[in-house]
Amino acid sequence: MGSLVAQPLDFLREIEARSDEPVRRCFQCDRCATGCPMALHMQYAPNELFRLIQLGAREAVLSSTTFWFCVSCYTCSVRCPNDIDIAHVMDTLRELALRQGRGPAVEQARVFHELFLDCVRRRGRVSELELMARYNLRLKKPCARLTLGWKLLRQGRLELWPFSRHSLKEIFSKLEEAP
Amino acid sequence: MYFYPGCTLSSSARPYGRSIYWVCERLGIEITELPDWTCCGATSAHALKRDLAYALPARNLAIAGELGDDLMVACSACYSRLKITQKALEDSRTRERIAALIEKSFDRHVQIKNILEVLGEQAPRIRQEKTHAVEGLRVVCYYGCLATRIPRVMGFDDRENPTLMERLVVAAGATAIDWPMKTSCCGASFSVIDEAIALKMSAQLVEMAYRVGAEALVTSCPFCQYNLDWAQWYLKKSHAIPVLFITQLVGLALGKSERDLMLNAHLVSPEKIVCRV
Amino acid sequence: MSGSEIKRGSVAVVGGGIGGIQTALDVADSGFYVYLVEDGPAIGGHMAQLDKTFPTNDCAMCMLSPKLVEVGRHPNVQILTLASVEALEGQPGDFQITIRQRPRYVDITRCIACGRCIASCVYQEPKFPSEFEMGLGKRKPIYIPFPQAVPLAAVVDPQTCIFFKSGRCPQNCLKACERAALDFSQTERIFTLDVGALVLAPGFEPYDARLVSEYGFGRYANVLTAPQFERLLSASGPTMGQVVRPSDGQAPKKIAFIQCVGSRDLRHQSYCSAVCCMYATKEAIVAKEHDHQIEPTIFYIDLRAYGKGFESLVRRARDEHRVRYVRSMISQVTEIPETKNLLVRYRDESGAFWEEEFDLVVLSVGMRPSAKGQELARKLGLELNEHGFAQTSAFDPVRSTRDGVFVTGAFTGPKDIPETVIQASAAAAAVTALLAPARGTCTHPKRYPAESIPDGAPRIGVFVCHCGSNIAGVIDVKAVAEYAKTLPGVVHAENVLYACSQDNLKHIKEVMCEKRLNRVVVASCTPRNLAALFQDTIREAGLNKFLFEMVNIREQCSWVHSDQPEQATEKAKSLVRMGVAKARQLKALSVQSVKIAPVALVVGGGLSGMVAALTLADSGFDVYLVERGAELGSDLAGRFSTLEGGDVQSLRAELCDAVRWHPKIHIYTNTTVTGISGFVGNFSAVLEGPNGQERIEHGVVVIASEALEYKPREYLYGQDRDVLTQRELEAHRETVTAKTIVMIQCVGRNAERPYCSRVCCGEALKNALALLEQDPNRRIYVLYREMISSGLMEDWYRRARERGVIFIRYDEQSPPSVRRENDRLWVSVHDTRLRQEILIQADLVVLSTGVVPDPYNEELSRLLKVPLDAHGFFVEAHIKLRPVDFASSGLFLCGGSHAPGAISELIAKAQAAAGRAAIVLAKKEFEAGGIVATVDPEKCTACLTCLRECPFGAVFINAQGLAEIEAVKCQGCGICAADCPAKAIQLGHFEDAQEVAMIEELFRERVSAL
Repeated sequence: MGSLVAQPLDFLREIEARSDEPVRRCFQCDRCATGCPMALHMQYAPNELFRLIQLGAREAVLSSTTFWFCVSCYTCSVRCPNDIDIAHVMDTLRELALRQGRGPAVEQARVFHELFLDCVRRRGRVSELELMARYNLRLKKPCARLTLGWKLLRQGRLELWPFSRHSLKEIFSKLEEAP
Repeated sequence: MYFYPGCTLSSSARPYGRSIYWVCERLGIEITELPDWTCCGATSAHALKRDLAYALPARNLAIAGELGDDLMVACSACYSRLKITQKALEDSRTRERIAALIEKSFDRHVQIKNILEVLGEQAPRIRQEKTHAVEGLRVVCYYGCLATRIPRVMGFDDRENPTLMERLVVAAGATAIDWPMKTSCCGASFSVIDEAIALKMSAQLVEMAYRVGAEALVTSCPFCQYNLDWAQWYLKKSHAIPVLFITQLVGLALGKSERDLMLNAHLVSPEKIVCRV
Repeated sequence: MSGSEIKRGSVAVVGGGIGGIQTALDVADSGFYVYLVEDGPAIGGHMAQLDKTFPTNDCAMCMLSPKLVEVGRHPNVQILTLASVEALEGQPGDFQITIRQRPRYVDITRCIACGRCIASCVYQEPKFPSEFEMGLGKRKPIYIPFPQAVPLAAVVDPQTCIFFKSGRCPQNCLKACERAALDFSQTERIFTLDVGALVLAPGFEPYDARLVSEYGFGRYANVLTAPQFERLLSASGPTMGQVVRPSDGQAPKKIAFIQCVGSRDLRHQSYCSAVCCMYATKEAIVAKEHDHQIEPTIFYIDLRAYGKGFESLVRRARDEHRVRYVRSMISQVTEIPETKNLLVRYRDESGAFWEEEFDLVVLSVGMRPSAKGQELARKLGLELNEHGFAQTSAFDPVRSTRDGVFVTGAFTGPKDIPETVIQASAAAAAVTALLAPARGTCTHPKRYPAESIPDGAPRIGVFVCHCGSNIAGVIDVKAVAEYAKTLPGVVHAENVLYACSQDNLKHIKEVMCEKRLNRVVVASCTPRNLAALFQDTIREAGLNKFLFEMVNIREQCSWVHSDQPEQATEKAKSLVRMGVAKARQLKALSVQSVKIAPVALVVGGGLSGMVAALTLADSGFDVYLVERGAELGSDLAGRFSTLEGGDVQSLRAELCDAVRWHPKIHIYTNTTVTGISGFVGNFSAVLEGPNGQERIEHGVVVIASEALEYKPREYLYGQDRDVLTQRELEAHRETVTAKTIVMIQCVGRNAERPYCSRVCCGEALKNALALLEQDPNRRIYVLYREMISSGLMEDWYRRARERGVIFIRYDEQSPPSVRRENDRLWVSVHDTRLRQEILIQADLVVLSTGVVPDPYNEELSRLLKVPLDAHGFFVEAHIKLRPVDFASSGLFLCGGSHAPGAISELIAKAQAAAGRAAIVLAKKEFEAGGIVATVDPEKCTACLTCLRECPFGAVFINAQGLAEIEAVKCQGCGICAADCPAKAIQLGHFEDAQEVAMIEELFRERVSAL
């Protein structure tokens, strides 16, 4: 690995402003890493990512896989001795990476979340049947989980006719407009 | 008291929804579905857009605030999002921004109550009125991540070693076994995004439950129930352990039939337990 | 200070831990009456619960027990147990305090701690968690707090006693007591005491590990706290020193220590508890010594080995004892249900994740201010800081926010035993300075019965000590006592559990009386600590104190032959046989009184010297303050602020003024001490200065030598104008324009100077924060090995991070590099977390270079015959309990040349040294003689050998032309006696006949042949 030239604190300040979390407080105790159920899949452990943020390594941070593997279990957040809501910083980084047009490291994650929110936007609630069907189509695996779906359907655990309830399009479009 | 059911309770977690309504009625807890509720955004909203993650629960909080003081929540994800949003709204800038977005105000502070808290108050009554339906059934309680782990918010129980569900289980006549994975992660949305990862995580949980000698897992989280149930079904586990909602267990103890509690609508059949009953 | 015209000669010390005990002893020894107010049923505090102490791994109880006994027996200390201070009225010098004393239900003047009451309690087995054993052992409702407790008496806990709970109890205890010591009608007493001042030492509580629930304490059987583990290690603990797992009683192999439990954590306590890194290191080593199979691992963030001797202890732990240190904090502990083993997940240096099973997990819980202390502060109207510790000023570390009330020990912040003892002596010094006019007005001198001169045949009593299991664990002590009975002259021999315990001392006196003993032999530990105590005991029984002999069967037998119990027992018998042989030959010796010159010589006019001089002068003693340089306080030059914001230049100016104008301080600048002779109380020094030579007479010497900043050769220092030291930066801080600044810590710390200089991390934090204050847009990087922001300084470390300082850790093996390239300064560092090289383009590089002792120490060391350690720092008498005394009487030390410290720490140390010196001066006279050499004029040939060789100048040639020895100067070293060619000199208590008798006895028979 080559050497990294330490950059000004602008990137750190940007992440802190977007997340309202004091990323600079991290003193590298490693608790977030050792407690994270997904750490093995991550390119950098959360604290390593924080060190990169402190050094201003924007590219390395935003293109990393770390926050795409975050499962939002909040283990890191509640055990951080510096009281940093680390999972929330992961959300911030994911949002920023997408905003800057970077392809996600885990494509299915983005697809899933986007479809989920689209359901919410149009109907106000999520229909699992609709969500899974669209997810399968989007990933071009129309037959995935067919047995499971059939079993659930027979048990009455999938709503066949999702009613259009309360559209939230207004809220969504206002957010689209926001910077 | 108003009740925020969340999206899953009418579909994949329908057994949970059913049993909640029945148990509450049986214990004299009056609940009314929050009118015009909408999705809390679950993990998806905060994964992609911060203000959306606040706006979606805030809309429900605003509705609840117009109607009453208390809001009961059953789903851990909904509970977590509502609590986190309520905490975030304490910041006046966030509050103003979100109020403008959803065109509603938050004049009244709503007490968001987890279903475990609400049922916990009825534990003495459950103990008094229980049948022998689940007497001595060895269960482990599984809280998952989101019910107790809410950053900077004082929850209804210890974050790392909650015991409220155990108290309910014991009140119902079953035996609660302490185990070290009460609040470990089941893999959450990775059961859709990347099955292999979630299967491994859920399998570890079930394995530990088996090792401590549990006959059933009991949970209060719809997604956890689904993941643990699904993982065992998918992996065709020889020693599969049924995964019950806490209200199903309490319902059984209070004399409701397994059909009414939709115990037949699980992937891992609770047959063994029901036979005991 | 404002205060009453009336000064009372009595003082209340609140809290009976090591801090309170040391304060009580120092104050009482200075001529004041002390009420030692303790909340619990016995004094001793947390130190009594420790097995060993770092960094020397000495037995804690062996150090503490003599102090407990001393304070318990002190004629001018009254111990009030189960007591608390409820209110304080009046003003400094003349306070009235209200004491509330809870009933003990046992009359301590009647109780002899025989244990009959306990044995007869209706609870046949101990049922309630023992406070002393941290819940690992159990006790009954009536119990003795611990074997060495002072006062040694039973106590009834009304919370668990059936009589108090239900009223229905046969009260067997009452019937069993042969001395009618139990009294269930006792009620709470409230009374007032008049005192001139108060010292509060209420101490700390261990952090409640249950609150850090992710580690499973209280849930998983094999998760213990470090204080509990300490009890497991203790020979007198619940398992008699066997390290076993609570779940199954099996010996654990792999033990994990988790550091910072409740400390350095905003969810719990933001500060560092200052002692845990070292106690974990100690416990790991001691565990390993108990059982070689044990593999300890310590999980930590920063390893804070910053005190004297700490670094070398950690090195020994790592290299010799193979203690594994892993820099990775554990997020949670998971119990494996089948084995009750514990699973933890960590990362190694390469970043790889590991899951590892341990048999036992020990949580290094931090210190928190005690609830009792906080309540006390509220009642007395003292201010506390944000954490609940007593608020003090940086420049007066033992002064509380209320005049006349002093604070000490862990009540002022987390600290270890030596720092507590230093503060205790400093508080005692402050009290005695405040109340100096009332010295001696409330004290009662100790009175002894008339001394009987034994005539007739020796009647020897032999007491063989178990020392818990320290001796009895190896040696068959019963056999040794039986054997002693067979020796000529012995009329009594027996075993005792702890020879030094108060009940046993009482017992010795009773036996002496009953059996008409005229010689006493105690076979226990080294005479260094306890001989004086036993001598005093036999003197109390009316016997000349030199008719006592001590046999060391611990250090010289059981400890060194722990794997050969049978041979050790035989050796112990031989040692006892020798001791008894000597006892038969012992003679009564007489002592005489010598006046003490009430004058102190303070060498070194820096910060410490000035504080020491002022403290002594305020206590009413004349002080010669001698400084080699031209100015006082030159060690403070160029320093402007402390981390906490104290103004160093004002401090210097105030001290210089106070010293200059003090009528009792005589300042000699540009002056060196060129010669010193005499002995405690009567020294004579030669000062050489601008006005020639002067000889002064004084009673004590305080060495107050400061440390110097190390001048580096590393990192382009001296070659590049943009590379400075921290001191140089501070001196020019206002004019710095650099935007990007890199600070490098531990510069010059190498194999030759491996110790931590303790102050550099704080200096870096201070300067970094000040630079950011000037210009918030600066970038500051601190490259460190371990951040030593111990104790409350941790808050400043956090503040520095919050202000944007970026801290990057480097490894000792791959230090950073600095180079100048195209007129730009580049610093390169290998970040151990990212495992990647980081390049920083810097405008300024600041080196934290640490401190080195003053080379002048070597001369002082020769002059005063006091030792220096391998690095050139002075060596104190005892690292734990006598940190500011030299081993030689009348000599004291403070300043950075004892050990590096921050300004507040140096001030406390200087006050402490002055306070210890004042105790000597306050005595006015001391006893000399006894063990001294005498010349037999019949045999002396006046060859002058003794005159030449005496290191103390005690020998002179008398009017008859023969050698004679001045008893007051003689230190009893024995050199003259050994070297006299005519065998004309005998050393009292070590006469030839006595020594020869011992040697003959050793070879007279081989015990094994019996």
